[in-house]
Parts: sequence; structure tokens; C-alpha cells
Amino acid sequence: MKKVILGILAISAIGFTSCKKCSECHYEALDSSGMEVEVEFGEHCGDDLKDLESIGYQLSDGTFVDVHCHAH
Amino acid sequence: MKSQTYKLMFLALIFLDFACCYSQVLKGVVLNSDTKIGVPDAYIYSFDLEIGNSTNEKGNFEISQFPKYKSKILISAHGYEDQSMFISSDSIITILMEPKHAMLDEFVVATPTGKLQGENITYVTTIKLNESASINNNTIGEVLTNAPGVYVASVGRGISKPVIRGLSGNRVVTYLDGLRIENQQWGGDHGVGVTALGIDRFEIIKGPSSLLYGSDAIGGVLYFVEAQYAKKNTSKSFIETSFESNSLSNNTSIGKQFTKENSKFNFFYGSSLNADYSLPNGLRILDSRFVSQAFKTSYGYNKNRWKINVRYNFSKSIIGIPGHSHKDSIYTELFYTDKLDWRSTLPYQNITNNFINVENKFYFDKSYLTMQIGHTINSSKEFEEKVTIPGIDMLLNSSTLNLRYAYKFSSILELLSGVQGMYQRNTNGNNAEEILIPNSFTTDLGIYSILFAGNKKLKFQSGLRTDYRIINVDSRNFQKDFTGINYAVGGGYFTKSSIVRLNLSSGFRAPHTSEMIANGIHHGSFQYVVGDLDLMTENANQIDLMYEYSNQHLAIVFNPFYNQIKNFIYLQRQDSVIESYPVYNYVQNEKVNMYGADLGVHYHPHFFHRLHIESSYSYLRAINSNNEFIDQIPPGKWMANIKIEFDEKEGFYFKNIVIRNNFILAQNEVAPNEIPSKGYNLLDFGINSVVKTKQNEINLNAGVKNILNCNYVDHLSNLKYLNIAGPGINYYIGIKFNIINKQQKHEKSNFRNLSN
Repeated sequence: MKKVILGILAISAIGFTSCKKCSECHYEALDSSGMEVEVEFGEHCGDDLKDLESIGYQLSDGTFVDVHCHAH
Repeated sequence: MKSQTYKLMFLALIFLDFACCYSQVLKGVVLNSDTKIGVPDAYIYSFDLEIGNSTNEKGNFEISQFPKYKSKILISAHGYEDQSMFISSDSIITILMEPKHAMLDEFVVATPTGKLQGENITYVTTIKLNESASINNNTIGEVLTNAPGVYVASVGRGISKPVIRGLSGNRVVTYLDGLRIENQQWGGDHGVGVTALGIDRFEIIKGPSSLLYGSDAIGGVLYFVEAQYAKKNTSKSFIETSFESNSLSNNTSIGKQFTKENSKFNFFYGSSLNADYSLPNGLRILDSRFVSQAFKTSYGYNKNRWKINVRYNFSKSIIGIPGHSHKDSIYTELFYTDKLDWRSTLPYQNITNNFINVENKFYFDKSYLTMQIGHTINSSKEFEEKVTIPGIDMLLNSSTLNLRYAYKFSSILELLSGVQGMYQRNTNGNNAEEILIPNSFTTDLGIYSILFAGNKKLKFQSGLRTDYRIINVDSRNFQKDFTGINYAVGGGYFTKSSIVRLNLSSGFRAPHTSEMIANGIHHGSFQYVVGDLDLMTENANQIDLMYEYSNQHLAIVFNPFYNQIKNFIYLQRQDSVIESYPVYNYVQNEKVNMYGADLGVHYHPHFFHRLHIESSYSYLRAINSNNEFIDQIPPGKWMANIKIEFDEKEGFYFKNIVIRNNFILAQNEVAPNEIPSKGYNLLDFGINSVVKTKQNEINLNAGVKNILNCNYVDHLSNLKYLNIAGPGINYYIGIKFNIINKQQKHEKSNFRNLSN
């Protein structure tokens, strides 16, 4: 009986444990012909992802652009 | 001050000591009324005390810790008609069981009055989850949809809100074993808040029910009751899994229930995984996926005149919000996808609920006292454009208190009085992009008294209640209070074959904080919502007539009603748009008249007792003082159910075969800016079988839902404006292993042979 209850508790604990959140992110930019394109810049996780969404992505010229990340 | 505290503690100890003093044992024998031979394995159970025991091979039974208080017990045995009687522990009883002629419905006790369905003046519709599962129900919304007179307002498959007699949201109050569930139910996209895990049944009280259930309950009450504890000194476990083809869903749950002398435990864990659902054309609705997990545990203890239950529920859901787009041009196909995906994608809701409930009950010779305290924590987050920064992040803490005292003056006169209180605080996360409802708190207090009178044939009840609510908004230095006085008067005439009930009742609902101070984007319902500080309280008055006829083969129920709601609050779409969201204002209409009827028939032909033919029809009409129809009023619903049951036996056998047909009529009686809906027909089929051994049982079920692959858009679906249809054909299969361990040999050997 103890084993069953411990089993239920263990499964519950594992089930409710969140794994680290990671997302593919992109920003929008204009290409050479002036068309809007999505520039993917890879998967980001945890605090890095949080900072990207709140501060933005810094381009080589030092400016920050809004990013869009997709939940998994 | 200190001495006063000690005095109070001393008095409380004396009170508890008195309450726990007298050990009693209820003894008796259960006999076949024809042969006078003992009935083995009959189960004698008190719903009120939550204790019971089975008879031994000679029909004898014994229940310890049974107080002298007259409690209603139910006696059930396979092949016999259910029995009920009031009993206290000071006598040895003989119970005669009549062999069952037809497969009639079992007795059901309505909570919280503890009265049998057939004796209650207020009609309570009871749905047992294991019975409704004759055809597999994946979500609590699907269970509710198949209850007569009950509808569901949905956003895809993951979000379902109960609609009772055309009213939902704040107007329908949900209880879980006496605990009022608060989960931001004002929102069109905030579901019921309770999962089906570990639930035995739910009860529906239609119409204003403020007297017992507090302010807000002007549409009705949904009362969920947890699974009973295992029988004394036994344990049972189960593991269950099911699969559905339409959204490639998997539901898995495990549970363990055991009792040891006076202590009782329940543990349940369940998870649900659902991909986007598919339409009749095979394409899927993007972001209709959802996952959820729940854990539930209960502890119960009985000691003579005292009973305690401690219950804890935890649930977490991540629910996609379908039908969401920021594109300038919106068309139905935009929301279609041919990809299969379970992974959460934006936008979605992240809902977490924690419920704790402690109930103490003390029994005296002629009365009982219930003291219940509870706390619910609901975290509602909506992620719209960013995965780490929520659009909305609200935390709702609600503490509730419920005191109830019932005194039986005589067998024909009983008084029930009580006090209900709630303190609720809503806080917004610092990280949230939007604040729809500012940080605020609400305090509720209600006092009520109900008198029950009558004999077996004629019964009356009348009661009064007064409520007081204060709403405070921190940031705006705003405070407003509301008071309400409500009544309920009813009578019933009960004969063996007929019951007539007539009830007049009122309800009161103070405007919710969201209706007064909302000012922001609600992503889930795709609205910019604006509240009104000058809203007044809603008041409802209902007259409800019920006629019930039944004999061994036929039962008929006819239930017309009329409900008038003054100062009806509703959302009205404006011409303006803010940040690309259409603006909706909360406004009031002088009065709304709602009327309709439920009709139900249940037939068992004499030549084939195993056949059940059930049918019900529900109709509702709602018109406001401008002579306009009201938004989101459910269309007529005709439900038909044909079930054939088979005999139980050892080894493999078919338990039942079910064909269910839900015919939803067209709804053309719509509000000025609302679109009408076409009627549709859903045909389902299910087959249930059992593999039975001496100790264990395996349940196997399979079936098809929406066999005709009907393409339909439900009138109450939030996606109807996008013409997004419901799920197409859906095959399912499920298996459940039940393991029952009996450990009561010692208990049974102590029985005296009372049948001799």
C-alpha cells in the first residue's frame, strides 16, 4: 500500500516539475528589396530568453529590436 | 484578555470532549423480504457520516463509531431494490430487501441538505460520472454537455463553462464538496476550474439558489462530490488510460483509496494530453491543444459524534486559445492546419489551482453542526505575444467560512441556519503587460435560516437570507458595498407514483469587480473590456414547477419555470476599437424575462428489463425590457439515449451497449448583433465490457463519437463568429484496472448471527 501511495506522489511530483523553457526566436527586418523578412537567430532558454523578450535583441550597430519567440 | 482566551479554549475543549464522548455501534441484519434469508455483501452506508460496512455471508452487519444522531442510511445489494431509512445506533435493526423487478435507478442523496432525491423539495439533477461514462467523456465540459438542461459555452475543447438555464459565468456558482470554487469565472474563456479526477458525481440546481449557496447563484449551482472513501478496513486502487483519435488525446489516471479503522484516505493523480482537434474535413484547428495535470488527496476521520474531512486539490493546465489572430483580414481558413502538434504555442493560458478544504461536523442527539473553512488559490496567466512575459497575470486568493447548524424539533420539523463568509483578494503580477482588473479585495457575509416541515406526503420549506458585500480597489481608493435579502418558499406533494413540487426563490448578485473596474484587453475573449462603477445589483425571482411520475417501467419529468432578472448586467459591443480589439462595455438592462421547460422520459419495457430508453428535451427563451432577445441563449436540445445492460458474471462479459443522440435545434432568437446558428445532430455509440476475477476487475470500453462526422458550429461557442466548427468523428478506446483488497475478516468474525 505504501508503495502505491509513494508511487502516486512520485508520479505527481515528476508530472508537475516544469522543464526549462526554450524557444526559437526571430526578429523582423527589411531585406535589400525593402520586403519585411523574419530573421531567425536560434533557440534561447531560461533567463536569456526572458531578457531577450523584455529588452530586445541587440544588432551589430548597437540598436535593439523587438523579438518574437515561439513557445514549445 | 489572556484569561478570556483560556476560558474560551476551555469551553472549546469541553465542547469537543462532549462531542467525542459516546462510542456507539450500529448492528443489524439484512434479509430477503420473500425468503427471509440473509443477504450477503449488502452495503449499508451513511452519506452524511461517510461511514458504512458490508454484510457477512449471513446478512449481519456492524458499523462502529455510529453516533446516536438519527442519520439516513442507504442499503444496496446486487439484485435488490435500494432501501433508505433514518436510524440511530441505539437499536438492532432488521432490513428487508425486495428483489429487483427492473433495472431502476439507484437512490441518490442530494447535498448539502442530505435528503434523498425523491424527498427533496428543490429538484436536484444528479449525474454520476461513471454512468455518464457509458460513452467516454474526455473533459468535464463533455460530461456537462450531456446533462439534461445544461449547456456549455466553449472556446475549443480545452475551455468549457457551464450554462444553466441560459446563465453562466458569475451567475453559476461551483462548489466542490462544500468549498466554493473561485477561478475568475467572470471571463468568457475561464473554464469550470474542477477536473473530473476523483469525482463521483455532480449535482445541478437550476435557477436562483442564493439561500444555501450565497450571492451570485442566480443562474444555478454546480455541486461536485468527490468519490466515496473505500469500505471499512479495505483498500482499492485503479489505473486507467484512454485514447481518442480526433485530437490524439490520452487521459491517464491512477488512484488509491483505503480505510483503516476510523481513518480514510483517497489519493488520485491524472494527466491529459490533447493535440489540436480535427474537423470533419480532416484539417485541424490551430492552437486548440491543451494539457493538464491534477493531484487530489482527502483524509477523513470519524470518532463517535465527530467527523472531519481534509481535502486538497492541485491542478495545472496549459490551454491553447484558438481563433486568435492579429492579421487585418480574418477568415476561417486562417485557423486551419494540417500539422499535428501537442506542444504549447502562443497564445495560451497557464492556469494553476490549489484548493484546500477542512470540514468538521459534530452530531448531537437532535442536531448537527458543520464548520467548514477553505482556501482557494487561482493563478490565471495568459501568454499572448511573449513566452516569458504574460499578457495577463492574476492571482486570486479566496478564503471561505461556512457554519451550519441543523436542529430537528421533531420528525416533521427541522431548522437549518448558517453563516457564510468569504474574503477574496485579486493581485496582478508585476511582470504582466496588461492589468485588466486592478488589485482589489472583496468581502462577503451572509446569514440564513430555512425551516423544513412536513410528513411523508406533504412537505414545505421556507427561508430567508441576508447578504453583504464590500468591494475595495487599492489603487483607485474605491469602495462600494451592496446588500441583498433573499427568500425561498416551496412545497411538495409526494405519493408512491407522483411528485409535485412548486418553488419560489430569489437570488442576488452584486456586480463583480471585473464588471465595475475592468479597463483593458482580454486576450482570451479577444475584447477590450470597459467596466462601469455605477452598476447596481442583479435581482432574480423564479417560479419553478415540477411534476414527476414513475412506476416500475416508466418515469416522466416535466419542469416548466419562469425567471425574471432585474438590472441584468451584460457586455455590449461598441462601435469603437482600441489597439485593434473591439470595445465591449458592461451595461445593464432593466429586466430580463427567461422562461422555458425541461421534459424527460425514462422507459424500461416490461418484456425487456435490461433495455433503458431515456429522452429529454430542454427549451429556453429570454427577452429583455426592450423586447430583444438576449445574447448566448442556448437553443432547444433533444437528447435520446438507448442502453442495453447485461448480467454480471465471472470472467469476461459485456456490461452495456449505448447509443446516444443529441439533437441541437437551430437558434434564430438572437440578440441584435448576434448571429443565428444552424441545428445539428451528434450520434454516438459506446460498448463497455468487464473482465472480472474474485478480487480484481478490468473495464474495457470503446466507441465512436459524432459517427455521422457532422460539421457543426455550436451557438454557445466563442468561435462561432469565425465559423470554426466543432470536432468531427472521434474513435475512442479505454481500459481501467481495478484492484480491490478486502482486509475485513477480523471485523466480520466478530459479528453475532443476528438472523437466527
